[in-house]
Amino acid sequence: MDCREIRDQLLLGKKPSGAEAEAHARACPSCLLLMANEGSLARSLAAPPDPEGPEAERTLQSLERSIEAERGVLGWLRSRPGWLRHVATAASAVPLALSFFLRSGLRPDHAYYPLGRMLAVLAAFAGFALWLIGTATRPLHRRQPSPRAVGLAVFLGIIVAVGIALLPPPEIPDPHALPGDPVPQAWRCHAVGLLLGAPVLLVALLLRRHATLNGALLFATAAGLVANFLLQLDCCAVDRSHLLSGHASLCITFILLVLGGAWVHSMLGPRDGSER
Amino acid sequence: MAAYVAGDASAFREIFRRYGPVLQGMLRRKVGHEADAQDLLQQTFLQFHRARFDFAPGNLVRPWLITIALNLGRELGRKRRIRRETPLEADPACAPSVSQPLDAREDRERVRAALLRLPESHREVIELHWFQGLPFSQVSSILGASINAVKVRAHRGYERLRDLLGETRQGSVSGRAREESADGLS
Repeated sequence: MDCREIRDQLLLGKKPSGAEAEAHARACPSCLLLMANEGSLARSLAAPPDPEGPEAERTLQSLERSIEAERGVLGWLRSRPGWLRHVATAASAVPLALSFFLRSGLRPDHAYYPLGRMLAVLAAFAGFALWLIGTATRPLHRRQPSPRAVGLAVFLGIIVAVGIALLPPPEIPDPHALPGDPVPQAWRCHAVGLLLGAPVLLVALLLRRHATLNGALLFATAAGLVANFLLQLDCCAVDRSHLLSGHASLCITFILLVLGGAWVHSMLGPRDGSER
Repeated sequence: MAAYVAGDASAFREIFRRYGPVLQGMLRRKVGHEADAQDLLQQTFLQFHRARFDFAPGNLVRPWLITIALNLGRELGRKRRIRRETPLEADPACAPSVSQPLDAREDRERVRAALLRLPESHREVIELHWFQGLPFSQVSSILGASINAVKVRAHRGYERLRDLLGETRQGSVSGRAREESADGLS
């Protein structure tokens, strides 16, 4: 006998009896409670179900209208399987990045930069960005991360970017050092990073099935890490102040953009605060 | 489900008619407001529609729908807390307007009010174990918790419910007794 059989008996107003019921109750304290006192708790919980009102038909009609409206390109994209939306979001950075690197080439010191370190840094940025995108595109039929978990993931994303910027600089021949003051040069990197990371954020927001601020924050952090990944291939600066202000800060800029967008949306959107 | 994924609109209506009332009852117990429950029901099926190509043969429809509804219900609860709205309470004024015996309606409201006084983690387990009749193994996979954790939450939740329902029953019996004695005196 299992919990369901015990429940079915109790719903019929019978007290489950016999060796099997007793054996189950001994192993299942919840069923023991439900069966205690002639099943008084189960009787209380067995109130008749809500009657089906006329609202059901109205809800179905309204739902069919919403589904009808899902027929455009966006509706088609949103209904693609989760893995495909995940890959499409991550790959959205590729076209712009390719055209950028075909025009301006890789960082001038790439032949001198320690290969192991370069690969490790790129893997950290890419791996964490993919994990964040996967978490944010997790379908609603699976348990969603709690706000605390989302906050922790965003924080860790920022820590990865800041931690890599704070690593001791590699020893690279001097002529490849960035000319001029590294901090003003950081503005150029920040602008390029925003441009290169933006497709990830935009495509992710277009492909999401359910609009939540938590998801958007995860996408924003991922976009910041993708931008850091691409800047690692573009910029030959190794100065910490440049890397912090021009590269690592991109995660925070994308997060602020999302928060600003959400604020504007809440000001302009429906007053009930729901995000649809 | 296969027919629905293939684009058969009547299959979707059939799924809605089969699972809609069960989910609506669950959402009413979860959010306590009829209008919110209706809205969440609609969102649940819309999300289900968007996710239809994720559905693998051999999956069960009901746990899918229940997980979507629970996720949306949790989100609404969080929004309410952020906006500092009235805490979740049963709203008898918003109950379905179909006529029913008063006792049945009172019983249902009493259970709903007691459930809303439980911690969310306990309430969800009881919803799935008792009201949906799911085994603990499925409850644990829907909630993403271990079977042992789910069993402990269920036991604590049932204990608390027994106390709460006992209190309200005693309250309503003594209230009725007071009314009867007042009637007798007048």
